[in-house]
Amino acid sequence: MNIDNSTLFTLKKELLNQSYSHSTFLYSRCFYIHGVELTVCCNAEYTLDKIVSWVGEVPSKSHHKITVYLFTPEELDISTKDWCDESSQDCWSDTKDGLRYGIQRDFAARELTPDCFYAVLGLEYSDGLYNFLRWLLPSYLLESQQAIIHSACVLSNKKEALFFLGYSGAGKTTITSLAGARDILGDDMNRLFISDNVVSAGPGGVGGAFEPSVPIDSSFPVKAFFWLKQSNRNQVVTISKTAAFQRLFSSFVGWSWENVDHELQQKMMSFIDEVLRDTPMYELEFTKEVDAWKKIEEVL
Amino acid sequence: MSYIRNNEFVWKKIGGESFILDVANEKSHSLNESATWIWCFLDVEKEFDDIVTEFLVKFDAPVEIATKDIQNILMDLNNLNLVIKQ
Repeated sequence: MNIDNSTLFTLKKELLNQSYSHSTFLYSRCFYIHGVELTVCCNAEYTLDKIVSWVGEVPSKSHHKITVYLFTPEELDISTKDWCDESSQDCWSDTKDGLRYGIQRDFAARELTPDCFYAVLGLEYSDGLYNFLRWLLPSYLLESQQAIIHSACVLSNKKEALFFLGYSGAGKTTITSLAGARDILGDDMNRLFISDNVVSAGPGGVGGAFEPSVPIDSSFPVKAFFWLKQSNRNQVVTISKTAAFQRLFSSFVGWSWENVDHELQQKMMSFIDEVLRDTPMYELEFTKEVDAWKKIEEVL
Repeated sequence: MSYIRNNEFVWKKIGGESFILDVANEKSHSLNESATWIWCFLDVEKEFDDIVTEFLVKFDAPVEIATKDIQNILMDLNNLNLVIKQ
């Protein structure tokens, strides 16, 4: 993991290790994200208004309830600019006595008791909240056969979901921008889930440059995965199950090499195994031209 | 010479192949069908000769080639710390 501002990282770590005694909050509100009910308690109403503007507050059926005691850096006498003064996007994650700790450039969070978190978020932009949610949610989502996948997701002309995976810079946003009139779920974060034995996709709702062109709670059957590789030609090649497994694993959001939770790793593997049982993955060599989509449609 | 699988790793069998996570070294490994068979067979300590004998029951291969392949696979797995040589 890369950390450029080690002084700030140490400060955030110390902050999380301090004994937590705050117990009075003026405001609280419930948010619902992919079946997780998130009760946010804080002392600044504008904080809740900002969260509503980013994730909405439409009630939905929940399978898990989490409480978050939320602070802004300013409430701890740190400016948001100083709090986010880190160029690395890497997320540090650790577990002590079964409780989770997480630090990224714009958030620091600690699980106080099971399902109850203390978090400090820079909320000038939505990234602080989204990074926190990408750290917080994956283990809960896996319990209900869901995952956030670092991917672009576009609907085919038959309204089947196509996932595009690849490392940062591989062309996820590019393939999305070339999709023409096709509906876009997201260019960076998308939800992959299994419901009634059907592998499905929906918008991630946790960041990305493109606004989904379908409702956040919509779902579409997944037709195929494509691993992106920029090239001077357009070509689609089938890849082996283990290579597909490795590539989908590396696209999971919320998992890092620092996280050595074997149970979580095992759950991820079982989920991926089920997803890839009947859904193919291809390697897509593509030019940054709209013709790439002809090759994609040919294999569907 | 005997061998046993290092059980520190989280892994999953996918079809006849397998995917193994090596968190300490921030790597993942994919094993082909024969390496996967050896990896699974070494859930308890086995002598080299027993591995060869059982391998030949499972895979149709000339003894000399199979023995050489098994030696190479075990060497690779041992170098990756996936298998422990006793």
